[in-house]
Amino acid sequence: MYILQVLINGMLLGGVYAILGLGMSLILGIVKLTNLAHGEYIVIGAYTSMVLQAQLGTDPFLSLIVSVPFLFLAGYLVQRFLVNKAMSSGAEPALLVTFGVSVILKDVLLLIFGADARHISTDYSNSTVMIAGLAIPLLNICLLVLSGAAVLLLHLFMHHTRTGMAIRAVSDDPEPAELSGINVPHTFAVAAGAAAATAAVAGLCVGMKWTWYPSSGGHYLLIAFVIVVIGGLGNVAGTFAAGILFGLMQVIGGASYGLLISYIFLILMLTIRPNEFFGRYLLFQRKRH
Amino acid sequence: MKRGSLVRLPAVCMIVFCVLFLLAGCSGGNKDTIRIGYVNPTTGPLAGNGEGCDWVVAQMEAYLKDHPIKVNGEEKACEIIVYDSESDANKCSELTQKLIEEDNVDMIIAIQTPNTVIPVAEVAERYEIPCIATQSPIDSLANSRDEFNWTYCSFYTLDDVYESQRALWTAAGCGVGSGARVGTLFANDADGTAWHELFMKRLAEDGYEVVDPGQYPSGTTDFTSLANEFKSKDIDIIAGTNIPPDFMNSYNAIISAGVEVKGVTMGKCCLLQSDVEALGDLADGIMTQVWWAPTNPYSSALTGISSEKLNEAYMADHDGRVMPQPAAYAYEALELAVQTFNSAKSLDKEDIRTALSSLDVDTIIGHVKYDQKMKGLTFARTVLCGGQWQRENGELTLKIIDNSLHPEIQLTGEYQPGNATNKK
Amino acid sequence: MISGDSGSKKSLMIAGAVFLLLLIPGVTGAAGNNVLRYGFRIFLYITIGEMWNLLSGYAGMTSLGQQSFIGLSGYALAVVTSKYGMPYPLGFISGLVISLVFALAMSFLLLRIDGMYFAITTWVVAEALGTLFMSMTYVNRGAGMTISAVPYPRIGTLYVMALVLCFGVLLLIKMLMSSGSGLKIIAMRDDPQAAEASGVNLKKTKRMVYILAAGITSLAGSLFFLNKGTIYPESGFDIGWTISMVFIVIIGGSGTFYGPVAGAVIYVLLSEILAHYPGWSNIILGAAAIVMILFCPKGIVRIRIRNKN
Repeated sequence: MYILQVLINGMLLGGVYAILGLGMSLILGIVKLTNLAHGEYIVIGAYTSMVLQAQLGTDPFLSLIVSVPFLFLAGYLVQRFLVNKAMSSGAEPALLVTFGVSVILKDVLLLIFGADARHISTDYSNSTVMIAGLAIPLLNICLLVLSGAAVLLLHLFMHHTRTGMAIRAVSDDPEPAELSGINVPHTFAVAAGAAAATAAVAGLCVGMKWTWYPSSGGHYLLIAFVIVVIGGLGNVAGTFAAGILFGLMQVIGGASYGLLISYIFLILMLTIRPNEFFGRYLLFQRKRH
Repeated sequence: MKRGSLVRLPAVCMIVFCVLFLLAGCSGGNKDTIRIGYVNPTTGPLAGNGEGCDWVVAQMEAYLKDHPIKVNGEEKACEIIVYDSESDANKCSELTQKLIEEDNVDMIIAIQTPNTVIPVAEVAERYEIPCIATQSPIDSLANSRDEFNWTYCSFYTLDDVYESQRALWTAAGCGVGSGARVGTLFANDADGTAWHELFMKRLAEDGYEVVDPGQYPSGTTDFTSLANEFKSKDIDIIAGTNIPPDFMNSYNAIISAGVEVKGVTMGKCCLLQSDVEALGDLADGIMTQVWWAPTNPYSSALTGISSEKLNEAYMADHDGRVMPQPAAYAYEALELAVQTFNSAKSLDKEDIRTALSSLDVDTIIGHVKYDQKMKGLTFARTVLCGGQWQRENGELTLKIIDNSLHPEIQLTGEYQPGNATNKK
Repeated sequence: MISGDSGSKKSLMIAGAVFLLLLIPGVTGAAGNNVLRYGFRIFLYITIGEMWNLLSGYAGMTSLGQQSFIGLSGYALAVVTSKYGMPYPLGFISGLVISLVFALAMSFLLLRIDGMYFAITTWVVAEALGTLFMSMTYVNRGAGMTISAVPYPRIGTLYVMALVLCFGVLLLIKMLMSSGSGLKIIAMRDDPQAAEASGVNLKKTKRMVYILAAGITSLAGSLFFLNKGTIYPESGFDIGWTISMVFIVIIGGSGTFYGPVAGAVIYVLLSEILAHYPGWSNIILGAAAIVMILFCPKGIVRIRIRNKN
């Protein structure tokens, strides 16, 4: 019974891990940018929700109404005016720009909010519901639903809106997309904005589930990388599955070895048979060369 | 283009060396100024420990303006140079070298957790510069190298910590011989490893049943299986030391799993009101070590300020925020430095070391006299009490509920069952 | 970088003269310890910068995991000197051997992938090593280790070692890139398919570059940690090491010989100056990096070339 309960909790937490990886999956898969500032976006999302909850006293889930557009705008502007320009001269200069953004954000957050550990708590933070004799934390269920909704929304956006289709066209091959009249820098910036917007949702999840401080971004960035690479780039459904898999590995490995096991799993999976997982992406890489 | 690149290497080297010689020329020189080097984790994960450093340095500089240091009767100017380690051990050693070689400091202050103190003291030892170490358990520093000839440390030992936590368990009804089951929470960072080793030994000696789920990497987010181990073994006490995110992530998981305990004693993460407030209702009743409190009966022999007055001054400048315990140790370190120079015969480093080693002074955190030895390290044992976070009119306050190690400290409350101690 | 015989001889002589000139302060102690400290750091950052440049700039293998080798060699040094009480040169050798063996083993896994996957996986390998060392009792877990040596080498000695390593690496890169292997490496970066078609063994070339970079980075790592004296899993396997290499190479000029030299000088001087602004140093460093990339995206060295022509 315990084991079942533990496994279910691990899978429920997979929702949080998936939402951590979702934005990274977008930006890596579509913009082809290794965004080192993504962890800080998540932390900003958490602080935004915390401030709104403290100031307005509303339920933290409602804070998304403000934090999602706010981070979308921030992500859009950073991509449009800083990263796009650096990307035109290669992936490495862009990497360094995102590093610059990351350290600046980290220390500015420290100046604004101080070094205190923070947590978004609600009345139901520690409630559990009994389902078929298993005690399931209510919060885990809420967060799974939230991240499922975010994944679904993003999927609809990518496949059923004009902008989403433009993003996918640019992702497949920027040159013909540009010839057919798509504004590539704008499209990249929208994709980056959408990635940052998912970071707002991730920030809320992280803030309600765990505790963070200004320098926590690095941990979340690494988890996001791991999820993305397991799930495949730009693959929304794969990201969700990877989140659940990662959650299970944390539970199976326990606190002491969960991280190590997921790293080793990732390295092996990536290196032994990448083609099965990433066939499409690698094919595209070859085409460009 | 090729010809250009051939000439460029020597040109670059020449420019570099011109710059370096200029830099070397700028620094050092004036021996009428005493320089104290201070490496502080202002940013990064340890920033909570480094809080208040600027304020403390400003206080001491203001004092020194009116009461200059007198070395052998001669007035000297004093400069305190603070560098930010970014909580990075690599930067700690680099910046200490910079302080010694570029700024020609006469003394180094190594402070704020073993992760900062050990690298800084290591460099100070190698360059033979007197070093005041504080706010790192004696054991961690003493185990880091065979002998210390220039470093003097003042803090508590891990044995003190264990005994203080044991006294708190006793208050919660789990004394020696009660057969209580103690669940341990230690990350595998520097502090966690040192504490873990000693706690395992002492817990076994005292006949406690230990539930040790193993150490975990700092930053672990998932403690579900650990929580379930605690649940199935039905623990009575949670003990350990953690940084705030690790404790709060694990503690939330433990409470969510339905674990009930009689007491929680946790080091490091529960020092500040803001840190425990992040736990919400779960914070009521958590017990922790208190190494300094505004209510402590100590005053600085140097500046004459009492613990209470110092805290009031801090609160006035920080919107009513209580002075963090580590900041009091920053004040102590600077007091010790100034006292050392006041009693030194000259600015020769041997004389400074002699003055430092024979200090016998009252400071804001208690009396400091370097009269004990652990392995190669000479140290002064400082105050350690047991405290509990209790809610008073909705506000969490840290009450001192145990003074068995240092009876001269007044108690400010007594053990109360709280949300964190709900096991019957 | 194809130079005529007389040209290369002349540049070799100039380089030799500069080397001897730089050797003087280290041997005689004429320049003061602080100058040696700056020199030591600059030479080591040039070394690791050149190695990252070889990987990313010349061979197109952008790695985010070079800190693996710095951490491994630092720990090898600590284990050999403080656990077994042996002299530190033995620590250098064991660090080098461990890094080479580890790089060889990892190359079989890592060279199957390229692009962003290679970058991220190398980083995850380094994180996995850090996490592993955190839980290994053999290396004191997170409590870290100290490096002991009696007598501890003075800054003058460290300076000379860093200088020799740095010039050795510069010479090696110069020779490698003007040899047949250098042409293969460039061809592989510019067009892997065409290079393979014209007879370049991609796997072999990549493996050589990866292992060479690992070995030399590990030597630099040994020297770095010999100077620091303490090592922790989070300081040895810190992504910050590779970020500094990226900074040095990109700011200086990726894929150029002198880029990392210029980048390392800028990086070290900038970080030393920024130490005087505690709490703001990283904000300024980040802003400086962004501004420099936006205004000279190809690196400092390339600006000068354009101005000259």
